[in-house]
Amino acid sequence: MNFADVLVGSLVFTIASGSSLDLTARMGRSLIEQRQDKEQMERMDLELLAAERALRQVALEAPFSDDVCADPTGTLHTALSSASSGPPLPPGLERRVELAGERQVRLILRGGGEALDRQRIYTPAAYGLCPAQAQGPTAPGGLP
Amino acid sequence: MRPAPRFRPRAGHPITAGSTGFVLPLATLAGMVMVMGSLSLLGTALAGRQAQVAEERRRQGDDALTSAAQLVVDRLQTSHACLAPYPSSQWQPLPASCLQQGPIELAAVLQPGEGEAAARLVEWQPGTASARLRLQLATAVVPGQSPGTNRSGSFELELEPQTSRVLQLQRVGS
Repeated sequence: MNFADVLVGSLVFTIASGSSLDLTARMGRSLIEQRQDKEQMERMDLELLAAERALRQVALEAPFSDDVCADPTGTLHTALSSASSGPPLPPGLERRVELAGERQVRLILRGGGEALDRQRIYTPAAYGLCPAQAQGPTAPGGLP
Repeated sequence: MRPAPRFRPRAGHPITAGSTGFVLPLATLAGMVMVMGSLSLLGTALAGRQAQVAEERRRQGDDALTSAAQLVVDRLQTSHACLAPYPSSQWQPLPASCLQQGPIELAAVLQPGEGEAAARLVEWQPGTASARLRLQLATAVVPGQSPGTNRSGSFELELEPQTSRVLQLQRVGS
C-alpha cells in the first residue's frame, strides 16, 4: 500500500459518502413533505365531507322556511362557513367560503402548494333549497 | 529469486506485495454501493411523490366535475328549467316550451364551469323521480392526455315527482 493509494481512496470514499448522505437527506425531506401533504389531503377530504353533510342537513331541516327562501345563497354560505370536520385546521391549511355568483358559493381549501388546492362550487338548487324563489336570470355564458 | 518489492515498506509496517493497491478499488466499490443505494431510495421516494401528485390531480378533477354538476342542476332548475323534462339529445333544436320563453343560452348548460374546472355535458336523462347526468372535463387532468380520454363522471339526481325539486344529487360510479 502506498500513500497515494490511501489518499485517493479516502478522497473517493469521502466524496461518495458525502453524496450518499446528501441523497439520503433529500429522500428524508421528500418523505416528510409527502407525509405532510397526505395529512393535508385527508383533512381537505374531511372538510369537503363535512360541508356536504352540513348542506344536506339544511336541505332536510327546512328547505322552504322563510329564512332560507329569503336568501338561499346566503343560507348556503352560512352553512358552509360554520361547517367543520372538528378540530381546528392545522397550520398551513386555509379554508375560505366566498360568493361565486348570483346563486353560487365556492369553498376553497388552500394547502402548502398549488397542487394541493381544492375548491368546489355549491348551488342552492342542487340541495332543493326553496326552488320557487331561486328563479332568476342567468348571466350570459353561465358564469360571473 | 524473490521479486523485489515495488514499494519500500516503512519500518514497523511490513506490507506484502499482494496487498498492494487494494485500498483504492475497495474505497471506490464501497462509495459506489453507497451512492447507488441512496439513489435507489431517492428514486423510490420521488416515485411516491409523483403518485401523490397524480392522486391530488384526480381529486381536483372530481371537484371540477362535482362543481359542474351543481351548476348544471342549478340552471336546469331555474333559468333553463324548460329543458329539464327533455333528454339532452332533444335540446337541439330547442323544445317548443323553451322557444316560447325567448332566447336561451344553451352553452350555460352544455359547458358549465370555467378555466381548469370547465366541463362538458355529455348526457342528461330525466325520469319521473330521478335523472341521470353525465359530464366530462374539458381539459385533461394529466397534461398531454388526448381530449377523448378526459375524466368523466356520472351523477344521479333524486327528484320530487310533482315539483321536480332536487332531493339529492350524488356521484355514481368512479
